[in-house]
Amino acid sequence: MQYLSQYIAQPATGLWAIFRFAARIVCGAERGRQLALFRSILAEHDNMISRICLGYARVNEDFEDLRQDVYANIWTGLSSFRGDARLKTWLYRVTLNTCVSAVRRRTKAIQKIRFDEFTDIIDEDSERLRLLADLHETISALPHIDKAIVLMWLDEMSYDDISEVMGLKRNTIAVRLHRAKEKLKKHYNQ
Amino acid sequence: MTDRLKQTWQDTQFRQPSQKNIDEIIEGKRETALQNLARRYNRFSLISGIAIIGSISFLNQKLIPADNRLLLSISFAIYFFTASMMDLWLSNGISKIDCLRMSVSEVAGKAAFYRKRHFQFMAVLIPMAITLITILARQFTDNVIFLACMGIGALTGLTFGLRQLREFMADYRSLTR
Repeated sequence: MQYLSQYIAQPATGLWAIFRFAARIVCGAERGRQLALFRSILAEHDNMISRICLGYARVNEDFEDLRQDVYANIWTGLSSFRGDARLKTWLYRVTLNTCVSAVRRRTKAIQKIRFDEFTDIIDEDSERLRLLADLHETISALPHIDKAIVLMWLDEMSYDDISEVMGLKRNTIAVRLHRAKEKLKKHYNQ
Repeated sequence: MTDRLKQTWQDTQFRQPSQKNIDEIIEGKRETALQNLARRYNRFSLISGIAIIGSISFLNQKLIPADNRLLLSISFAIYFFTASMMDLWLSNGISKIDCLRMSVSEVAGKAAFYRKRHFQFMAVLIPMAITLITILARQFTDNVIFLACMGIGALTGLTFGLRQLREFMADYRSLTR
């Protein structure tokens, strides 16, 4: 019996070792693919992601938290992302979903946005910063759904893409965008 | 003007997140705010569940008249069971919000729905708690020391509870306007 078990145990151990080695290669390759894709997203799309997070943040702490949450969700999602949706559309969806569902702990209410506290913005042109601060304050006052639509419109996404990300009909997008643009126009005319 | 706004917005550049933050994300050490919220609800559900066991102790409480012990014990057990189930339901619901696959309107709708339910549950639980504490206090009308201790406990609980409520209210954003 002992003699027989040796003939079963040894090949079984060998097969198991081969299986584990192959699994390690596949998993390692998969993780490598995920890591490479994550780094390329960071390099190519960080500004887009950061702009959306800025649109939903009232203080720098919120901005940093949102951005990290977005990247955490992207990292989790990359393991199952197989390119069935366009990467850019998928990134917009994940970023906006993270921002609209964000739960922020605050020790005190934010009375007024202080744009100069957003230290991660790289810009030395004071005129452009002033315009950006003004735009940020106007966007911050919009309801969350309208804010998402305006942020995608500012990035020149098509109505069809906005409709796909938002899960709303094209006509609804057009109507809400028109109302939001009227508010922007009114603000800047004043 | 529109073109200028778009150009200004698109030209905005940001510093990338620090390598330390990126490493934390890759190692799976970063928990999102939504995951944190679901975990918080789960924790409260567990605490309420454990408190059900504590409410059984009323059966042996010699300071309470014998006639009322069973009723009080059952009442408190029902209260903590209700609170536990509500928090568990909220935790499960929040966990089901899938930021990767759902559309933005769906996520915003679900988040607003659970926020509303949270406040509705508070509207049920707070009056229940006040009623039960009042009934409990009536058992000890001749025991000043016990009443004083209950008062201090109630005030501490109220302070902590109101602070938690304020934090919850500050946490959630107004999602549908």
